[in-house]
Amino acid sequence: MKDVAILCEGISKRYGTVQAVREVTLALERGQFLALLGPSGCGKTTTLRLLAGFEIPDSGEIAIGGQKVSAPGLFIPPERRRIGMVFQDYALFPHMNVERNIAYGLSRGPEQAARIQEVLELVGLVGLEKRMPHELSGGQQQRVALARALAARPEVVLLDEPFSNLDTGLRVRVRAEVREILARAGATAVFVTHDQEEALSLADQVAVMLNGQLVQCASPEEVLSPPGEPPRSAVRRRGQPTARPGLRGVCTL
Amino acid sequence: MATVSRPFQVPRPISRSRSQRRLLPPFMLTLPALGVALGMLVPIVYLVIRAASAGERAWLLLLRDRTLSVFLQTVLLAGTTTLISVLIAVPLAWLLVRTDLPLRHFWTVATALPLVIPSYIGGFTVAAALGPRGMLQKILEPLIGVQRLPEIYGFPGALLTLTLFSYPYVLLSIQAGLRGIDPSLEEASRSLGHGPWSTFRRIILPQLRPSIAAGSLLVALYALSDFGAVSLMQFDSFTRVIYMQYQASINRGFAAVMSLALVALTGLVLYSEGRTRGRARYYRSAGGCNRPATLIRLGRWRWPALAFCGLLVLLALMMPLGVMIYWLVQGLSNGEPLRLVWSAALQSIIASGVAAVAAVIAAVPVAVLAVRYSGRLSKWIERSTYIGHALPGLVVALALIFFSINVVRPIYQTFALLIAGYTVLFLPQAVGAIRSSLLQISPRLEEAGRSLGRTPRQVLATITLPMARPGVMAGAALVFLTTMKELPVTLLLSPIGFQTLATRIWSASSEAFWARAAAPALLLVLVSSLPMAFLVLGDRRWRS
Ligand SMILES: Nc1ncnc2c1ncn2[C@@H]1O[C@H](COP(=O)(O)OP(=O)(O)O)[C@@H](O)[C@H]1O
Ligand SMILES: [Mg+2]
Repeated sequence: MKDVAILCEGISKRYGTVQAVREVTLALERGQFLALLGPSGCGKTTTLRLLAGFEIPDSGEIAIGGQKVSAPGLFIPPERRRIGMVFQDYALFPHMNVERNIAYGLSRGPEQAARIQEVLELVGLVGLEKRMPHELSGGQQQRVALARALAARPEVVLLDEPFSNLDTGLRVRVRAEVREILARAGATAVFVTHDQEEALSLADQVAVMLNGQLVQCASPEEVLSPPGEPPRSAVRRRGQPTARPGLRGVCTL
Repeated sequence: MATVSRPFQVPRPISRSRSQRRLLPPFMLTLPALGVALGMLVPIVYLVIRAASAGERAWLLLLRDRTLSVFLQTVLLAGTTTLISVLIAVPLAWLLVRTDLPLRHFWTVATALPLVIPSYIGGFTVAAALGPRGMLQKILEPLIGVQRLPEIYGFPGALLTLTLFSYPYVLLSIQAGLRGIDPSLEEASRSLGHGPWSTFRRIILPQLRPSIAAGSLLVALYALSDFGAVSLMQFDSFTRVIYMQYQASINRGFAAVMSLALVALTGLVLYSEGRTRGRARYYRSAGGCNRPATLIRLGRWRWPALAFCGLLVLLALMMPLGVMIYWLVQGLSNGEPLRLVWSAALQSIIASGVAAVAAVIAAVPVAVLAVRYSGRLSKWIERSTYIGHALPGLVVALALIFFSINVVRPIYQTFALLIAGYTVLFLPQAVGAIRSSLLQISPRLEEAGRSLGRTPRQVLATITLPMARPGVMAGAALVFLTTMKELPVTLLLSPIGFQTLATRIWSASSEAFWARAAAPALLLVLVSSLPMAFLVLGDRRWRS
């Protein structure tokens, strides 16, 4: 399974009486983009946070880049999971400039400066190294967040509603840019959205969530499949991940 | 109206409490925080031990009539002080925040400033000015031939002093509450046919209840634990009786028993306030979204309003300042040496500086734990710091004396014990300041740090603490200032020969050497009023 970036098997998470995530099983191939799509409160953020290691699942197993990071009796903390995270509000460190924000995830050394330049070029922000976060526009802040997440070459990049903080005019453009940047970096990405159009236009795989469960997991074309035809994933049994012909990503229920 | 804004919105803590399987706090936080909590428990636990071993006689003394009268007098003093403070503060706050009172900003600062005058300085100025043959009598004698003013010592003097110098607590609390009220509620009430008075009574006052309660709590605790004013005014409330019992050293067990009774009283006040307090502690306005309310025109009413403000500032600010300046000049012309004042000031600064650092160091793990790792343990650890609120300074000092004499003799009468006393007393302030600045930091930032490969400890050092620096500094400044003014702990725990401004003022004024007390008192008040003015002014600038 060398080329599977993320593998989750039956992960669940409950908060008090709320079952936020229920038996979610999914797999994602390296280099693919997965969209977690669903209405607000359906458990998308929680799923992402379970992947990142900010929450401990009640049950189930998670592997990232072939390494088990979460299983009964095993919990690898977020800093050792090789993930990059782009937060909804970007979470740029307000007391550090752009350069130091990006350097934060890099080990000190001769390559550090070069890598910072590299990712700045990648996101098109060369020249803004010394700006403080509040001196940047929303779109620029987002690109800094992306650069910071990509700098240490993480196994997967996790993005929580990455475009919800941008106004509509900007959103479509930034979306395309982000996709372009991630693709050029050769990254594997999981992003959360409640916007169907966004999911369909950006992702290779769309996982639809409802009430904490994955109800459909398919390519954008299949998600758009004509009404009347039952979503094929609904009849698929949960269990062993199976690669489906025609799909490069693996995603099962 | 679609959005019914709650009157005193609790700023939503950004951290969500996580149930089920949660991430455990690292040991490097839990261990020091546990240590702090245990340290906070020492005075109260040892007080109980000491009182329990005080012997039957001490407990029987508690049942005497005199003890009952001390209890009643204390309650009467605290209750009346609180009531009058509220009666002053409610109309004053309304005038300052909601009306076009002339010179509003000046009055806002001037009416808050009495807060910087410690009760023992206030007490001495009240006695010097209004005593039977005090300065007022000297002014009145040639005019209308008054030979003697009525006695000020006892209940009237204690009540006057405590009210004049503690009402700003309620005032500030109510001002904040008033600013937080959505002006459209008021407009709605007016549009529904209610006049200004009816609107105030039916809409504003009910919403102010939590801030009135929060401020009253502070005043009541202030009055219950005050030592300086009641001693100078020779009013037998708990603290004075305990102190005399201790000084006489006939029956120190009885002092411990009485202390415990006083703690029960403060604990009762805190407890009965508990429910309102949870909400009222954060009476912050909903923020920038509120339109500023239109000011109410006072018209002809501005004259009585001005007279009210003027009289208050005259009594609570001008009178003490006038008395101090008068006696300073008297003292200087009689050759009162200033040299000792400078050395006392230096000792004050050293003690306060060390106390501020100690309190902040102790507060950081507690605050981080409370904000980021909510759980039963961290809640109890945070609660343990409230002990500093409930214990009067005199009681903390006595408990630490008993403890050091009987358990760790080598620290008795050392600087370290003094600092420990200050830390126990003022830790809640430091925790509060750090806590509120931590609440402003989104946990997402810390998670971003973790996702970028840093350990919890590194994240604490590179993100959380640098961002919480304003809170840490504010906490340190607060502890510094309150330590400068603190009296009973300083008096009882200072090593021999260690004289601060507070102890100097105390020893001079308890023997009515007004001229000797004036210089250090003025210095202390000036030093502590600078940051206070910034606080009030800064608050105003931020709002406008
Ligand atoms: N820390 C928490 N404590 C309690 N309930 C939570 C917590 N986080 C999320 N939930 C609940 O779990 C469910 C899923 O939340 P979330 O994953 O944030 O949804 P989404 O991101 O899809 O909008 C919601 O019902 C939410 O209220
Ligand atoms: Mg979400």
